Formats: sequence, C-alpha cells, structure tokens
Amino acid sequence: MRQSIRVLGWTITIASLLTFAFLGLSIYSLFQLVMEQGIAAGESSVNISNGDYVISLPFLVNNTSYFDITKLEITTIIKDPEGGVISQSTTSSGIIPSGSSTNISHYISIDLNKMIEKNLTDANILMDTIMDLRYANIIGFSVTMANVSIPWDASISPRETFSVSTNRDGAPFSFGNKTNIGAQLLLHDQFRVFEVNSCPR
Amino acid sequence: MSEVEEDKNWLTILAPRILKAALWGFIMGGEILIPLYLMPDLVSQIETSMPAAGTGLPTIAAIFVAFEVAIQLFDRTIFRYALSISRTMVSMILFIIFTNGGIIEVLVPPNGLPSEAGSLQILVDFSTILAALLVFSLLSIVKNILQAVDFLSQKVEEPIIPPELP
Repeated sequence: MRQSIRVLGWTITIASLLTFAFLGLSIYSLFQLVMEQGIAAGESSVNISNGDYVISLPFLVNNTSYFDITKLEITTIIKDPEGGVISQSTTSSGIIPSGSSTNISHYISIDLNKMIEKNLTDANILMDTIMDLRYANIIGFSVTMANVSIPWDASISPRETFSVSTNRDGAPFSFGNKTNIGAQLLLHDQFRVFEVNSCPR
Repeated sequence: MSEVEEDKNWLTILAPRILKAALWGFIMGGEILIPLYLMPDLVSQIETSMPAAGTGLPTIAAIFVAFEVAIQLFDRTIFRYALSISRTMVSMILFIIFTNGGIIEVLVPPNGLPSEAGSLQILVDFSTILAALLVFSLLSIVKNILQAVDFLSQKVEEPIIPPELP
C-alpha cells in the first residue's frame, strides 16, 4: 500500500507542476501575442448601402504564439450620447492554428433612419468594442474597450445632406449632395425615368 | 527513570522536531516571502488584480508557514495527516477566493488611456485549469487519508513488549 501511496503522491506532484507550467506558458504566450500586435486592425472604409452607413474594419490576426486560437469574436456596440444602443455587430472566426495568419472583416452597420429619428447633429456617438478569444481550447481572454467617443458628422444624415430644388413648373432643377460619396437621385413618372447624378463633394 | 533523564529524553525527541519545523517553515515561508521582497512591483500588481487583494500575500505566507511548522512538530503522529488535510482544504478555498473562481479581471482606469478612449477591461478566464488543480488537491486529500490509515494500521501491527520481559 505504501508504494501505491508513493506513486499517487508523485503523480499528483508531477501533474500539478505540469498544469502550472502550462498555465504560465499559455498566459505568457497570450500576452506576447497581444503586446506584439498579433491582432491588428487595418484601415477602415465606409459605404452607404440600403440606408445603412457601413464601416468595414479589416483585422489581421497573426498567431505567432505557441497554441491555437480556438475562437475569436469581435463585437461592436454603437450607442448614442445617452447610452441608448443604435446598432450591434458581431463577427466570429474559426480556429486560427499556431503559426498561421488570417484576415477578418468586421462590418459595423448604422441604420441612418435610426440616426435621423434620434436627431443627432454634430455630436459624439459612443462605441463599445469587445474582443473575445478562446486560447488553447481552455483559456478565455476578453478585452473590452467601452465608451470610446466617435465624432458623428451630421452631413451623413440624408435630411441635411441631399437637397432638391425645383423650378417654377415643379420639375427638379438641381440636386445637392453634401456627402463624401457619390449619390444618385431617380425620379419617375408614369412614362419616364429621370436620373440625376451627383459627384462627391 | 529519574526526572532529569526523562527531561533529557523529551529534549532529544523535541529538539530535532523543533529544528526541523523551523527549517521547513522557513523554506515554505521563504518560497512566498522571497518574491515579496525581491519583486515588490510585480507583487503589488498581482494584489491589485486579485479581487481579495485586501488579505494580501503576507497573510497567505503566514498561514502556510503555521501549517508547515505544526505538521513538522506533529511528525510521526496521526495529527500530521489531519493537519496536511486541513492545509490542502484551506489552500483550495484560498485559491478559489483569490482567483475569483478562475476569472481575473483587470480594469485600466481612463487616466492611462487617450482622452477619446473609454475604459479598458481585460478578463482572463482559466476556470478549467483551476478545476484541474482542485481535482489534484482532492487527490492529495485522498492520499493523506490513505497515509493516515496506513499509519494507524502500522501502529496496530507493532508488537507491544511489556517492560518486564527482556
């Protein structure tokens, strides 16, 4: 029986040491990954599509650590200055093996109609960014950056952006566009379609 | 046996135990206290990130030193195993409390960030590993119980020689 107890004691000691070593190595490796910008955001681009203001944020994930990133999830929450949620977007990725890199595109979609309803002028909107990742299948890591202030340009609001002026007969005479992107105004009556294009300012 | 001789016998039994207890207490306490004095910045960072930071690492060191001294003093008795089991249970509870169930949260105040940034919160979840360590602690308790049973059976099997027999 003493031999069994001795073997049990050694097994517990070795298993505990290995567990502590794994924990220390994985946390060290994870922090090295974050500090060496293994997860970096690229240059964002903006697009207006179907009444939504869409910001595209590319991320490059270069997993130079010792273990696989089992799951990576990026969530952004856009809030008005009072804290009311305007939009929420989540992007998930699959397994990112150790030594590999991948590109992730995260899209932040803001409903322009909602922005008009909130009657926001040139104010700051707030953004919460949450990055969740599962490391080595065991360790969960989450970074939350809350209440980041983003200036909101009211010229994006269609009500103040596009102007249509008419002549005395009521037909459209000019179409103004205060945005930074091209816009198209389509007018149609029973028989004809008028297309008026406006270049970016 | 005269009283003087009896005192000398007690001294020969107790003195090595006290010395051994002091040495092991120093070793156990030193393992925790040496980082406290050599790396005070790291220790203060660990204390602020742990939720039960008010208790502090010196208190943990004191608890483990007290247990180790008691275990060494009661060596070769049944109390040694009871104290070992108690120490394992206390270390399990302390580990759960200090790591907040395996979830460590660090909040970076806004002062350390650019003006347009909000607060930064970092969360590390190692509850799975904590569960594994708790399982090993339970196995350690089982091991101590088996050692206590073995010790008691050994005591029962020892032949009792009456003093009058040669």
